[in-house]
Amino acid sequence: MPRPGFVVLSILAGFAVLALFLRKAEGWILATVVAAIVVGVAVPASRQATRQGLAMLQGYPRAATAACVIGAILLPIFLQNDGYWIHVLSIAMIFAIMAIGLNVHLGEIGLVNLGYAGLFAVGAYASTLLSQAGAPFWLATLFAMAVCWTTGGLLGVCSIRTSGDYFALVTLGFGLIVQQLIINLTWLTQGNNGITNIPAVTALGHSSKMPIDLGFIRLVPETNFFYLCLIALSGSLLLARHYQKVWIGRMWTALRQDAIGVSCFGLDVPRFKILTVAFGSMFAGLAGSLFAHEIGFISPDDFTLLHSVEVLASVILGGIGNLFGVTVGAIILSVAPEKLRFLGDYRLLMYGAMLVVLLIYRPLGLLPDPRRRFESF
Amino acid sequence: MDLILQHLVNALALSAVYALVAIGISLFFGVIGIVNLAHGDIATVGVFASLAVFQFLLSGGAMDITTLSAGMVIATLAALAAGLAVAAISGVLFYRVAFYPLRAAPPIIGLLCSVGVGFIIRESILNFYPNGRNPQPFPSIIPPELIEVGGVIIQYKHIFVIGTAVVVMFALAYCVERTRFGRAMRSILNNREVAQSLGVSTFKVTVALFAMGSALAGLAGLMNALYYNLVQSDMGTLLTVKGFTAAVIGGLGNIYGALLGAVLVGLIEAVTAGFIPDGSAYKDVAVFGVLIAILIARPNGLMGRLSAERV
Amino acid sequence: MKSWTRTGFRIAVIASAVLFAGGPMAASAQQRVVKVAYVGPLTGPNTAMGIGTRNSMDLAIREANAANALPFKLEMLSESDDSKPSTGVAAIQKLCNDPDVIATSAHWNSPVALATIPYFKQCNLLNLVSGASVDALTQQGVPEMARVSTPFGYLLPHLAENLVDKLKFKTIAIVKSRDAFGDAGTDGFVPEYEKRGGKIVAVEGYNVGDRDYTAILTKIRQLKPDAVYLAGLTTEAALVVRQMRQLGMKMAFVGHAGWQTSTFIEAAGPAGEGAIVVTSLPFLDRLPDGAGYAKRYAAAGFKEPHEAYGPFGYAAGQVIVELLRRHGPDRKAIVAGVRQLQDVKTIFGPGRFDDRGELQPKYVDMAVLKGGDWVPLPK
Repeated sequence: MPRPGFVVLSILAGFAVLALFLRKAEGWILATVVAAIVVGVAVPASRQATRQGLAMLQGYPRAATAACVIGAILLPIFLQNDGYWIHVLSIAMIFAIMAIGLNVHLGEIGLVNLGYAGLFAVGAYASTLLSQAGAPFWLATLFAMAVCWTTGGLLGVCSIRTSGDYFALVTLGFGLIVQQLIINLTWLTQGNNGITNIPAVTALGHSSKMPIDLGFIRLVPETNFFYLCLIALSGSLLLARHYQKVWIGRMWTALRQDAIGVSCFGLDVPRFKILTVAFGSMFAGLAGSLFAHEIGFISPDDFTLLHSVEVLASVILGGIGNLFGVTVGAIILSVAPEKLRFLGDYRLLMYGAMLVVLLIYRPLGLLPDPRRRFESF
Repeated sequence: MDLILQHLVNALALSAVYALVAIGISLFFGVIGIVNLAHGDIATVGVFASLAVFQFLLSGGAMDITTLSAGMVIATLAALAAGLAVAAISGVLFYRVAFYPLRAAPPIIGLLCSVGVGFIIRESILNFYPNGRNPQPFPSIIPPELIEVGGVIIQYKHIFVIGTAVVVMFALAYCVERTRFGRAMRSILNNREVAQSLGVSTFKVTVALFAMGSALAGLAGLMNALYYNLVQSDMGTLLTVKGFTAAVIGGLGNIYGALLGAVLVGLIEAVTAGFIPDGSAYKDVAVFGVLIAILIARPNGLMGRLSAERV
Repeated sequence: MKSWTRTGFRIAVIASAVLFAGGPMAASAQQRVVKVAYVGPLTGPNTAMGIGTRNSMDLAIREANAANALPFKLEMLSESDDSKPSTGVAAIQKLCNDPDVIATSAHWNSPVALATIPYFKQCNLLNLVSGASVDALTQQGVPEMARVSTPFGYLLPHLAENLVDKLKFKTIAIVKSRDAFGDAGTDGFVPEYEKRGGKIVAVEGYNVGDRDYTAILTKIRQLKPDAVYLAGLTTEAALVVRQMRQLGMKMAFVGHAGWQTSTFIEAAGPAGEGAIVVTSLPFLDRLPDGAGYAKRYAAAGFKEPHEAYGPFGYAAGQVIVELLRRHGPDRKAIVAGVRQLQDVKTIFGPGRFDDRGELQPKYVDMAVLKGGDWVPLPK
C-alpha cells in the first residue's frame, strides 16, 4: 500500500474508532480504554510507537489534513446518526473556538483572562437579540463578533494599566458583572428565565431544524450545526494560524519575552495589545452566536465563572500556544463530562481530581507547543 | 440616620469575615506568587470539621445552645479548635500536594490547580458528609438577644464577629512586624533570592504561612457559620470571591491593604443593598465595578507594594 | 520498529471495521426493552427533591413490574439536569435519541422545564411534569406537555385569600428570588392580594446563593408589615427567617410550597416555627392511598426520604403505567392518549386530565410549621 494512502486510511479508521468509543464505551469498556491510554502514555515503548506514528503523519501533511477533513465530515455517519453525540461534538467544537480565542490572550501575549465566559455571553446575547429582531444568522454572528471585538478592546485598555494577576482579577470581575447584569436586566435579557425559542438558522430554504436528506441517508437535524461548527472551527484555526505565521505572530512572541525591548524597536505596545485582546475576544462572539442558535436557549447559567475556568483549563491542558493541542484539549474537556455521566454524583469530583493530577504531571499540557521549548515564563 | 448606622454595623460584620479570608489570599500571593482560588473552600473544610464535632458531642440534643453549662462550653471550644486545626492541616496538605510540585511552573497553572482542588473539596463534602447535599444548621452559641442603641440594633454576634476580627488583626500585625517568622516572611516578600541566600528557608516559611493563613480562613468560615447558623458545601465560593476582591483592592501582599479592602467591600455591599431600591441584586455588580475602577486608577491596589511588572 | 507500527495500524483498521459493523448487529439482536425516564435535579442544588421524586416514580414502576401489569417489563432511567437549563436540554436530547424511552417525567425547576419544551415536541416524547410549577408549561398548546403536580395558578389565589380573610394580614413585604420561580410566586400573588384589599409595602429581589439579607430586612423592618412573604426556595427561606428573627422582627413569615421542605425545618431551626405556607404538597394522611404509599416507600429500601414531591413522582409513575397499558409502548399514541385519560386512579384518588394536560382535581391546602413539623393550618 502506498504510504499516503495508508496515512489517509489510518486517520479515517481513527475517526471511526473515536465514534465507536463515544457511542459504545461504557462501564468496564470505558475503564479499560482509559487504562490502556494511560498505560500507552506511560510505557516508553508505546510512546516511541506513538511518536513514530505521528512523525509518519507529519511526513505527509497534505494527506493527513485531507484525511482529517474527510474524517470530520464523515463523523456523523460514523456516529450512526446519533443526534445526541453529534450535538455534544458540536458543543465541543464551539468550545474549541473559544479556546482558540483565549489562546490569543493567554498563549500569545500572556494575559490571564478569567472572564472569557463573559465575552462568550456578550456574543451569545448580542447574536440572539439581533436574531430575534429578524436578522439572518450570518448577520447576527457578524454583529456578535463586532460587539465582542469592541468589548474585548475595552478589556484590552484595562490590560495596559494592569498586568499579570491584576488583569486576571479585572477579567474575573468583568465576567461576574456580565452575569449579574444578564440576571438583572430582565427587560433586555429576560433574566434568569433565559431566552427561549431562538430562531433556527435558515439558508437557501433549508432550516437547521430539518434533517439533511442525501438520498441514501437522512442525517438527523443536529448534523446541520455539526457542519456549521466544523466550518467555523476550521475558519478559526486557519485565521489564528495565519496570524501566528505573519509578522503579528513574531511580535506576539517578542512582546511576551520582552515588552520594553519591543517598544524600543518602534512597536506601539499599548495599541498592539488592545488590538490583540480585541482579536482574541472576537472568537467568543462567533462561539456565542453558534452556541445560542445550536441550543436554542440561553440563560445566565451557561456563562458562569466555571465556564471561564473550563476554557482556561482546555487551553492549559491542551498546551498553551499550540493551536492543535488547544483544540484537542477543548474537545476532550467538553466530551469528558458526558462520558463521566455514569459516575452520577461523583462526576464533578472526578473532574476536579483529573484536573489536579494532569496539571501536576503535565503542567505544560498534553501537547506542549514546540516553539516554546526555549522560552522562559 | 438610624438606618445608615444600622447598615454600617451590618457592613462591618461582613467586612470582618472578608478580611480574614483576604489576608490569607494576599499573603499566599505575596510569598509564592500563586492566586489561591480554593482558599474559601479550605474554610468550608474547617467549618464542617467543627460541625462534625458538634454533632458528635451534642448527638441527639438541640443544635441551638441556649443554656450555658460546663459541658456546652467544652463542646464549643473543642469544636472550634477542631475546625481551626483541620483547616490549618488541610491548608498545609494542599500546599504540599498541589502547589509545591508546581513551584517552577507559571503561576496560572497553580491558579487552575487551586480551582481543581476547590472542586474536590466541595464535591467531597457534598458526597461524603452525611446529608451534605442540604444546607445544615450550625449551632448558635452566641446569645440571640439584641441591644438597641438609639434605634440601631446591635446583636451579640455583631460584637463577637467584629471583636474577634480586631483581636486577630492585632495579633497578626504583631506576628508579622515583630516575630522571627514575620521577618522571614517579609524578607521573602521583598526579595526571594536575597532572603534565600541569607539562609531563610522558603519551604519552612511557606508551610508555616499556609498553616496560619488556612487557620485564619477556617476562623472566617466559623464566624460566617456562627453568624448565619447555616452552612452548606459551596459557602466557600462566596468567601473566596469576596476575599480575593478585598485583597486585590487593598493590594496583594499587604495585610493592611487586605483589611482596608475588606472594609470597602463590606461597605459597598451594604450601601448598594440598603439604599438603592431593589439594589440587593446589584451589590456584586457594584463591588466589581468599584474593583475595576480602582485597578485602572491604581494598578497595584490602594496599598500595593509590588510592582506591576511582577507576573 | 517501523513494520511494528504499520502492523499496529493495520490491526486497528481491521478491528475498527469489524467493531463498526458488529455494533448495530449486536444491538438489533437484543429484545425490545421499554424505558421510562425521570429527569430532575439529581446533582447540584435541590438534589434531595430530585432524588425523592425519582425514587417515588421508581416505586410505581417497580410495583407495576412486580404485579405484571404490562405485557413487557419496564426499565426506569434517570438523568440529572443539575437544575440547569443547558444540562437539562442535553439530557432530554439524549433520551429523545434513545428509541426505547417511551415516556418521561421531567424537571423540578421551572426554568429548566421551560427550556426543554421544544425538544419534547420535536421527538414526540411525553413530559408528565411532576415538580415544576410555572403555569406556562401547559399553556403553550404543546401536546407533549402534561402535569400531575399543582401549578402556581392554583396556589397563589388560595394563599392571598387565606392571608387577607382568615389571618387578617393586611400589609405584606415580598422577598423574591430573581428567577422564574420568584416571578411566578410574585406575579400570581400580587393582583389577588390587592384585589382583596391587601397592601404590598415592599418587593425586594435577591440572587440565589446570597447569604446576607440583613440589608433588605433592615429596610423592611422600618415598614412594619404584618407579614413577610418569601417567594423562593429552601436555603434562602431558612436564611431569611433566621436573620429576620435575629433582627427582632416578629411578624409572620409566609410563603408557598417551594420551601415547604423537611430541610427548611432543620435549617431554619426554632426561627422557622410558625411559618405559614400555601401548599400543593398533600399531607399523606389526607390522601386515599397516602399511608400505603409511605409504607411501601419505606419498605422499598430507598436511602433517601421521599421529600415533599414524592407523591407527585409516584402519581407520574402510575399515570405512565396506565398510559402504557392502554396504548402500548408508542411515543405518539401515549402523547395522544394523555388528554383522553378521564378515569385514572392515582395516589390522589380518581382523576382525569383536562384539555391543557393538567391532572384534575388539584390539591391545595394551607400548612403551618408547628413543633418541628408541617401540619395543616387549623381551620
